[in-house]
Amino acid sequence: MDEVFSVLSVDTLSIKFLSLTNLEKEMAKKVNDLLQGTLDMLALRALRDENRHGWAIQQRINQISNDLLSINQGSLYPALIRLEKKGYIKSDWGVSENGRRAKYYRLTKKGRVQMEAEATLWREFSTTINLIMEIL
Amino acid sequence: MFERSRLIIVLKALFQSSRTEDELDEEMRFHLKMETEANVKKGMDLKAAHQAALRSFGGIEQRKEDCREAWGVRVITNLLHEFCLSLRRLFRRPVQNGLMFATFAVSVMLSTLSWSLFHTMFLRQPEFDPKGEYLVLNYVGGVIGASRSSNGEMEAYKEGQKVFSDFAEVGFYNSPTIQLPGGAERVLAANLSARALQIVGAKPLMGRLFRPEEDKRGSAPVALLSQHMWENSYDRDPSIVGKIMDIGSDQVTIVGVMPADFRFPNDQDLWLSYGFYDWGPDAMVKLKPGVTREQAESNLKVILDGLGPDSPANRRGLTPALIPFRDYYLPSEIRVSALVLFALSLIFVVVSCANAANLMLIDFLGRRAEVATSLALGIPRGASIRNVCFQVTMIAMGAVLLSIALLPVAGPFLYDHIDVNLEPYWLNYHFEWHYVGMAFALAGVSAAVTVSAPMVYLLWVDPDKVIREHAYTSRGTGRTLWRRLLLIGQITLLTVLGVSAGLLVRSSYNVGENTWGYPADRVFVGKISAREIEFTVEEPLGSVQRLAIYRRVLDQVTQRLETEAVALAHFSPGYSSGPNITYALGQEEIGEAFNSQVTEGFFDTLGVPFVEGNTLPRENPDDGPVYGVINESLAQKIWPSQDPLQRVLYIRFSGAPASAPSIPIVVCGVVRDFQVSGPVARNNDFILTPLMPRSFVRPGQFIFVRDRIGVPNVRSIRDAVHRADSRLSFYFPSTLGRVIDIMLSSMHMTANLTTVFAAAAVLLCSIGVYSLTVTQVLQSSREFGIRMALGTEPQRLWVHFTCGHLLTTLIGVLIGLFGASQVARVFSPLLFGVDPYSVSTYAMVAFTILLVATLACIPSFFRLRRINPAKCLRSL
Amino acid sequence: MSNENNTLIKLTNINKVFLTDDMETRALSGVDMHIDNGEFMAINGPSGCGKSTMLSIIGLLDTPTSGEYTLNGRDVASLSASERARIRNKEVGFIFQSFNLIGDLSVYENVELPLTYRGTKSSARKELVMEALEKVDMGHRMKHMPSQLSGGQQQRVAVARALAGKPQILLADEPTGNLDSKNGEAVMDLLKNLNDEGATLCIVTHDERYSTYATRSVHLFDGQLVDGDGVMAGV
Repeated sequence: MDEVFSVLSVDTLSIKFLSLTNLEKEMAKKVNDLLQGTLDMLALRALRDENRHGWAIQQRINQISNDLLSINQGSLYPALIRLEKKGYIKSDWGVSENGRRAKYYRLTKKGRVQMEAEATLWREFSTTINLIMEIL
Repeated sequence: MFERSRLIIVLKALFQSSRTEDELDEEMRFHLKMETEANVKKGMDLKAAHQAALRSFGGIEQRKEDCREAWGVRVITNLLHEFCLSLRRLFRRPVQNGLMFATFAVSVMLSTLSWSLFHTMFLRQPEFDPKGEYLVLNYVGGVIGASRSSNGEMEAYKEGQKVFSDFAEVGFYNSPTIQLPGGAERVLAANLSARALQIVGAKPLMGRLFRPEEDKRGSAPVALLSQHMWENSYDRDPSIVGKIMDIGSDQVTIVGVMPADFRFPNDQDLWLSYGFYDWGPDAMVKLKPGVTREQAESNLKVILDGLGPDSPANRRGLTPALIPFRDYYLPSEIRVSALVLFALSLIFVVVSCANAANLMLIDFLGRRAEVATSLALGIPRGASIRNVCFQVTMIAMGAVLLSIALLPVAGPFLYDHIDVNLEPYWLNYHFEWHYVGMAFALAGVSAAVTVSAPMVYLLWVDPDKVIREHAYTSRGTGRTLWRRLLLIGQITLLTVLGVSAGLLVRSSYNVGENTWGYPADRVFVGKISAREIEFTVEEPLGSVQRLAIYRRVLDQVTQRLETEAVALAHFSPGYSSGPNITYALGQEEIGEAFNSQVTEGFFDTLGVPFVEGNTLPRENPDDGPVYGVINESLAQKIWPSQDPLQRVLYIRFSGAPASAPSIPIVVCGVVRDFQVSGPVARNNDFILTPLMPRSFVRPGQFIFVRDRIGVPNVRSIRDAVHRADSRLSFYFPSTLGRVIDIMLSSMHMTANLTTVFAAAAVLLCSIGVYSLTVTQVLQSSREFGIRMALGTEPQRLWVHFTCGHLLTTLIGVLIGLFGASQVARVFSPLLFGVDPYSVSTYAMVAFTILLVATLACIPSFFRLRRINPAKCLRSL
Repeated sequence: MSNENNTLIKLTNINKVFLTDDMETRALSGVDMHIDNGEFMAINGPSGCGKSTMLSIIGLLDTPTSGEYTLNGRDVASLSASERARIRNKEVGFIFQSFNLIGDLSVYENVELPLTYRGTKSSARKELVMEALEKVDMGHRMKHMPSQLSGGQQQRVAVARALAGKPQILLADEPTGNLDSKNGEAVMDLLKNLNDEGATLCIVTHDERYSTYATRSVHLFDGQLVDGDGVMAGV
């Protein structure tokens, strides 16, 4: 399954890696994996405060990331299915703000724990990177 | 929690696939609408807004597929689809898969049968005793044929023993003549005590079982009938209980009828109360916890010693022995047979695995182009592996189902052909679930072995390499090393199997009629008994009276027009078992031989010719010498190049006390050697003496008759016997040939089944060689085409490549011959009259295998001729 | 240089070296090439010039020793074998010289096979297969086995198999190599028609006659691209 995800990740985020040496290719692959996790995490993060439908999650992610990461919108849905399969979120049909039938996602207890854990990890990671950058 | 929710999603998607799809569709359309609306709000016109939404979404169908993949639903539907596809493909390669199916079916069937036999012989306990706790109290040692205890001893054991928690007297075997509504009949009966019936869990169909007081000697005799006898001889008489049945001079009350499934201990028709028994009982015993068999045996020995030297057992030099119930009934030969068969079947499974793997590999290598194509088309490697697995699994399962379906037919057939004298009642085919388990396990192992080669190939091979080699260049000649190694292994095992079969068959042929020294099939043998007649107790007067009656029998039978010769004897060559005397010239004993008493016509009846001298005299005066007839080799051994006639030698019975004098015998005739001491005896020296009052004429005698033409008619002989004295009972009519067959049944069975295995293995081998050669022709057709185009004739090409295969086969055969010599050493005790290293057998097997291998190459010749060189070249 | 957005395949400085018996064989050296959407590209050259290696790399059957390869704006040179398999399955259609239809599958099943592993629903699959078979005019033969078909018909089925998944590009390696000239031309006509309908094609051939069907052709010689006159490009 992991292979599937990393293939998907290639077009998940439209970032191009050009003129890559072997080392850079390795890096690119790692970054891909990282971003893959990022989308999942962002989706969880988007559901932290309220239950949302797919499009709203999309909007929320853009908002959180200040439109820095332009996500290929369709890729969100496989990510949501993955998360649902892992038991991090649950979905129910509801009615949207403009009166249409829409599928709403909500965070489960397990998902919340996961989100917190990942957030902590990220924070530590970025702190470390910042530290290194400053030292350098 | 996690697994369950995942499972629910998968199941939901599987069963409500369209609904989930619809939901997904709806969700995505909702998303697009929202995005479009947002775009419109930003100031785009509707069409542009919609297109922008679509663009940023990135292809609905593509995303849907990604979602389906994320669901993991496709895994199951894909598997289903793959399975159906494999199933269809199975029938599109009928030859290939048919051969594999045959391989699996034959091996699973034979192995399952062997397992059932093995289980019955070694593992299955009688139903009443699942743990095998019951032992039979019996005797060992002493004079042959005298291993029966006396009633007094049995009572002493029962009273004196401290080692058994259960003690039930039984007379396992008895064959009284009874008066039935349809006339006198001799039936198979057993005497059981009340406790014995309880132990074996008997429940009567009607009436009651025996009571403890009926175990007492002198109590009123009672009987239980088998359902079979009640139905056939009493016409299902509903008021049978309480009726009287005449057994000899006794009146026995029928107290019940046993159901058809009660057959203890060997398919009896009649059970008599233990009190009504005078022949020497046995006992079924169960050891107290913590007591070993040895302790119990020594306890019994102490009791026996306490009875003094004159007790019957002590006089005969017998020792009490406790024998597990199953061992008591299953002769060691037949157990060896079962063991050999089971071992053979395991070898056979290995052979067929090799064969199936060979077929599989050939099939698979033949499909390398297909594999390459599939990989090039982006079909996962797993799919190819699954295809192979599905294919083999389905074939294996088909084979198992066929085997299981055939089991109820083949099982009873096999067991019917195990012809053991007085076989125990549980030696019949009885379905057990683990037979099915065994069949599945064997098929599973075979399938796993079969699949492993292509699987390893698929897992290890670099797919890009396959693609490079095969998608762009046309097929090469393929690797033959693997297949050759497999073939060599297979042929090695086949050779081992073949040699084993050859030796066993020759051995069983050796004990066949050619070595009997007489036409056993034409000699009638039966038993007559004068037990119903009262004789003077004083000897030798009683013997004189019996001999007079027997002389009348001989006269009456001689008067039959058809009679060529007739004789009476204390023994029958089919039943006797080895030397029972030692012989000496002076004081020193020289060797062992067999002695029995026969009438003067014995040698003529069997058709054994005299080398020197004459047969025994008809009259043997009490004060005259005892004459004897000896066999040719014995004469040569004792008196090399001398005339043995009228010389004297001394014999002494093996079990006789040391104080007994040896008996002088005057040689009156020498006959050609024949198998006197049982079918498998190695020592067949004999000194036969006359039937005369001086040496006790037994009340029961074997009668032998040979007619001028054909086999004597039983009825006419019975009539002749009854004309001599109507009180004589006449039973067990048979021919010597038949008696010998029964004695040899286990040996024959081993030989026959081994032959079946060997024949099946030859079939597998030819399948293996055939598929190897044909696929090689197919795979190398281009190479052959080029060679032909360059002017090589197909014949020469074929010869060249057949030689290669024969070389492979030869290597396998040579290794196999070596292996066989090692295996033959192990089972040499089973062989009779065959050298375990018999060169001719080995050569024969090697020749047969090479011949089969050559024949299997022939179809490839025709394939070769069909190759069109022009076509091959055009495709270059 | 054509419009960046319209470029389907872009190869930059592709090198391929085979190591055989301690000897380096340079199959491709410094190849730069691009294929645009809707193009019918022909790669010509004598045998042994590296055509097939080139096609293997384009079709993700093989990886270049060095160089960059972007397919549809995505870097594919660094992908693992199974990722490449997935892309092959979805975005590339292959047509082989020796057809390589699977002998014990019917025409229908052969065309359906690659779709099975794309998670397409069976009803959708059927539609796609029928559509592809109709396009190559083999719809009436879908129940037949490959052995019952002529070479030309088999190649048409192979084309249908390549088409069925609606790939981004069709790759054909000497598609006429095993066919007589009449059938060969028929297959080329078919490919041309597909191109006219918008399919992107790339064929490898050593037969100059068939290059004329292409909208553009390049020549390979000893692993290097040369222009139509046999002069090194860029020299």
